Amino acid sequence: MTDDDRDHRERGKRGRGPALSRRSLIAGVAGAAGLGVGATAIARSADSAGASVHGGDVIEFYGEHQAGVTTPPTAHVNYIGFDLAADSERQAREALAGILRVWTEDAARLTRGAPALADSEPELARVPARLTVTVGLGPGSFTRTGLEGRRPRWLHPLPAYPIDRLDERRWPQTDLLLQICSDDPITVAHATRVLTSNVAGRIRLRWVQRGFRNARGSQDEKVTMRNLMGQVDGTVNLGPGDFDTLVWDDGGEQPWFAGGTSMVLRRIAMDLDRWQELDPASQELTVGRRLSDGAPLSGGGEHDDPDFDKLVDGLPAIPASSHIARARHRTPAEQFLRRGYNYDDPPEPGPDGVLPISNSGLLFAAYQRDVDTQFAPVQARLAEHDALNEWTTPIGSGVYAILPGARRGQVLGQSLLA
Amino acid sequence: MRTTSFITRARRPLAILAALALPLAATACSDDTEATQAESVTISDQWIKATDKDMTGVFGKLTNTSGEEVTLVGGKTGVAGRVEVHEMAMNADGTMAMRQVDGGLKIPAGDTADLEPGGNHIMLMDLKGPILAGEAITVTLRFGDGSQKDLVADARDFRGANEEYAPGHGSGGSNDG
Repeated sequence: MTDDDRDHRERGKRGRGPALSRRSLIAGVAGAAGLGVGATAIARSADSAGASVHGGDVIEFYGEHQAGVTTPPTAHVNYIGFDLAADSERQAREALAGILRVWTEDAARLTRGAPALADSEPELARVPARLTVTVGLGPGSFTRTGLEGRRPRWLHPLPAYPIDRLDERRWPQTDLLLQICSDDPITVAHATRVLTSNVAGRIRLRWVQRGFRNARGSQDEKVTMRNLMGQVDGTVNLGPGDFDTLVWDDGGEQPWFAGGTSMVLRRIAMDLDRWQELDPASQELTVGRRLSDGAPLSGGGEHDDPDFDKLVDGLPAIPASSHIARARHRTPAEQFLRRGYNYDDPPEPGPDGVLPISNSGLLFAAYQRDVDTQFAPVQARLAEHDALNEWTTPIGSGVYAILPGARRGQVLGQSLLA
Repeated sequence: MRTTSFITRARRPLAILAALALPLAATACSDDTEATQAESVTISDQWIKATDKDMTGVFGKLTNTSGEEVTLVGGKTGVAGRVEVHEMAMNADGTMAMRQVDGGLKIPAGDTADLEPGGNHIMLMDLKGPILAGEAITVTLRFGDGSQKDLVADARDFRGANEEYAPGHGSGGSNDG
């Protein structure tokens, strides 16, 4: 197949844009084979001009499951933690019910590119750019509302791990979580503002954690993200065939929760200064993967299975203490969906008023049917030993019940509050 | 995942409705089964401003799907002593203030009345208690022919809609009906 054929085929498949080929551009614009390079550049630029405007893309809000879990991760995220503003069980329950009514209506509007109600900047709602709004409940939404009997068994703080340096004042577990994702940071800012201010009297805002992945269109979305340590991060992950068994709850324990899932959000600070002191070969041995392409040190490509038995010069190609050796699931149950984002916030001044060079890390987000059986064993193993722990420190941690999705005409959490 | 391209919603459906409404209304008249004004009005995008003060506003869109003009004249609600239909108007000194609409808010055939902060709105006066975000408030709207329709609005916290009230205009409100 020639490049021209491929050009035609690709365009035909997409069914959009003018049916140009490199050949027609060369003939019509450049007119000489010798200028083929320039002509190719034009064809590419015409192509990307058509495909690079994604602001109108919509991810459906309504459905059996909430969007923002198994839907493709967008370029930007705000995770927002709230507590209920209430002095009594009755007030807390009314607040929760009211917040969920307002969030359902406004999220349904914003995600389709329409202004929320009481939206004082309706013009900012026009570009959804795959906006998703995902609502999670922390333990407090059950204990403070008299709904303790409906709390999923795994919805409790994670065990205290020896590696944790949790800042409970800055990044506490909260009663409520909003996860707002979009490819456009203006859209994320607007949705955050509207959804928060519309229920301002009912909530206490505790934190906003802002994260990002690659910009939309900067590389193929199938390419695994890199974290800010430079590592390919997220190679081993669940696929669509696993979601019904390992991600979505089946209502077996709490019938109201069928279609929901759990989320663990860990704020993991990276010590990039000390990571820099490590030579690249040592960095690779720490993780167990090649920095260049994420392939396991036992060989092959990124998505080939690591061979933990392979020896090189009598030593394991992948050290037993490396991150991937420790993180590898020991049973099929020890798997979860990872959907993390990087953070790179402005450095905070130290006691002497001087800022460190960087304030970076990973907003590690894992989704699974059962935190206790799927996530916790892996985290416990990593906490016990993981070569990477030398440069990474969990400073925030939360567990949330991601509500089942709402069908059109329903309210998120309807089955819980019924 | 369903990915679609978003297209700005035009008012096309309304225009179609309005065009259809004329012959329908004519038929309805001859059959003497004309819809009431309340039946002709659809309510959308409604919300109420949460407040701990003694009055607040209700906002949204009222669409007249009939071929005849309808008039919103007032209403009643369990949470307030009075329901009035207000407009924003200029005072003699050039400042804007809200006041009751004389003769009610007229909505032409096929038209939509936007009730919004800084514009026409429904005012709840003499509130009996605070209204908190997320509370669902029912207001029974009353139209020119005496027909009524319930509007249910969730409250939202909103810093705007603090227009100065200029009582003394209009015909005087009451929690009628």
